[in-house]
Amino acid sequence: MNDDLEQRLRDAFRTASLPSAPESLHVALDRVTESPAARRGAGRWEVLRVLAVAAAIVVLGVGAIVAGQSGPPPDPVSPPTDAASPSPSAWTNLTRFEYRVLADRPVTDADLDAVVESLQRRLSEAGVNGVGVGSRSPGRIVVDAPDSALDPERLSRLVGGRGEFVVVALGDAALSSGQSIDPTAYPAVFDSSDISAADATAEEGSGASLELRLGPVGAEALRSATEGAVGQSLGVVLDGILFAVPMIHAPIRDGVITIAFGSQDGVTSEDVADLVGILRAGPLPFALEPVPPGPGEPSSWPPARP
Amino acid sequence: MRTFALPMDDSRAAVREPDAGASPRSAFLAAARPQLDRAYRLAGLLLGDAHEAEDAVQDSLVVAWQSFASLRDPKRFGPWFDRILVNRCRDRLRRRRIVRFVPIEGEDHAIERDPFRSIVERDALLAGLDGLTPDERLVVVLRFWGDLRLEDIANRAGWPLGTVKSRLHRALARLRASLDGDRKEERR
Repeated sequence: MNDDLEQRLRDAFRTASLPSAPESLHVALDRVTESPAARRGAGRWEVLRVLAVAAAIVVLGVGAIVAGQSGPPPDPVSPPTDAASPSPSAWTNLTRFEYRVLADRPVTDADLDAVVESLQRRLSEAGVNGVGVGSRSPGRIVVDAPDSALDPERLSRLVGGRGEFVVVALGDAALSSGQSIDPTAYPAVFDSSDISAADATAEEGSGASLELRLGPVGAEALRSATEGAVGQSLGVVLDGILFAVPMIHAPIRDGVITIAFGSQDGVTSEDVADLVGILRAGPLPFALEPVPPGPGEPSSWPPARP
Repeated sequence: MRTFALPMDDSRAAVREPDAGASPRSAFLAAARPQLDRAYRLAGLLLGDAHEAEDAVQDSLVVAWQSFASLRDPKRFGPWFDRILVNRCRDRLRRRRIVRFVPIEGEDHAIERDPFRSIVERDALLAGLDGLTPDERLVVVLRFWGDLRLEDIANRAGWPLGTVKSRLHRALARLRASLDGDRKEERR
């Protein structure tokens, strides 16, 4: 009986007059490989934006992500938000990223809820909209991101790291940002638990700044660390990587520390906004490990953190 | 506001080198262009909508170009691209709400028919595709239109072979039930 049905299906498909790919797809194929972003090689989600603008074929209904400032300076008390965020009704394609919760005991539903809540807050505070965060047993976190919401590198930075933040006194050590560091090897000045407020600001022509207001304990520690240490450096460490190595120009006595990034430093306002999001949400209760896609999955896996 | 630091140390900005030349592009175009018709038809049969099919193929082309360097054997481009496209279509099927335009009887509307919708609606058996789950529809299309072996379907979808078999079995049962239901209607 199945054989008869199967043959009927084959015949039905064979006799169906299916259309050929429209000319617009051939044009799109040419343009995918022509766009400057695609030529620079892989992983740039702005290729989608270039495609839509160049071909005017796909109605994505979402705004592009703007890297850097495209409008007036943002409100200094809140991190910069995306220039145009996709609304749920405008989603045309979602990519799922999955993470394993790393714990030294069985992960409970309450644990997963805590991680999800923390990640949602982190994304929200970083100004990222339209990304769904959920969980599934056993011990997995899933993140559904519209292709236009954020690129895999940014996702990896925002979601993949635990968010353990500490500022240490480097003294005269010659270290540079991007380096791995064992924060326990240097005296800790303050960590995220001492921060009462974190903000990102940006001024035209000056790059982005990170402003941290410390509570009484942190403020006292900062005063003590900076007095008599002019000319030495502090290390701003996030998940074991030096985010910044600012030099101490004067003692800080009021508990307010501002780290300014020049345009030559390679730290964008988006980077700072992400750090603010991470700081406001606090560190995750558990570390996360990306789950690679299966053999049938295309490359939607965020790259490993450096 | 107290500025705390300048000058900073070396930049963290990643430097991306441009591609070596046109060779990867030529290889990609040569591999992808012959696949376009097939890909569009596959997406159209899976999604039942020409516009969505075009979007899905376009998205897949972008992903494929971005990860082209990871394809070790260019001769395997077809199955490799199929996997990308199938996943894109499955995601769309799982997430969309289907709004079907129902013509009002007695009114003379000039309705622009979607070619893939028309195909499905014109044939009683293919109309049953709308009653399948996204994964069941995928198996049926790949098996009976794509003429793939079950092992190849498993490879495209990233499923175990047993899963492919059970989904195919359920899909055929549903299609048969759908046909039987139609026959009962005709007899009345």
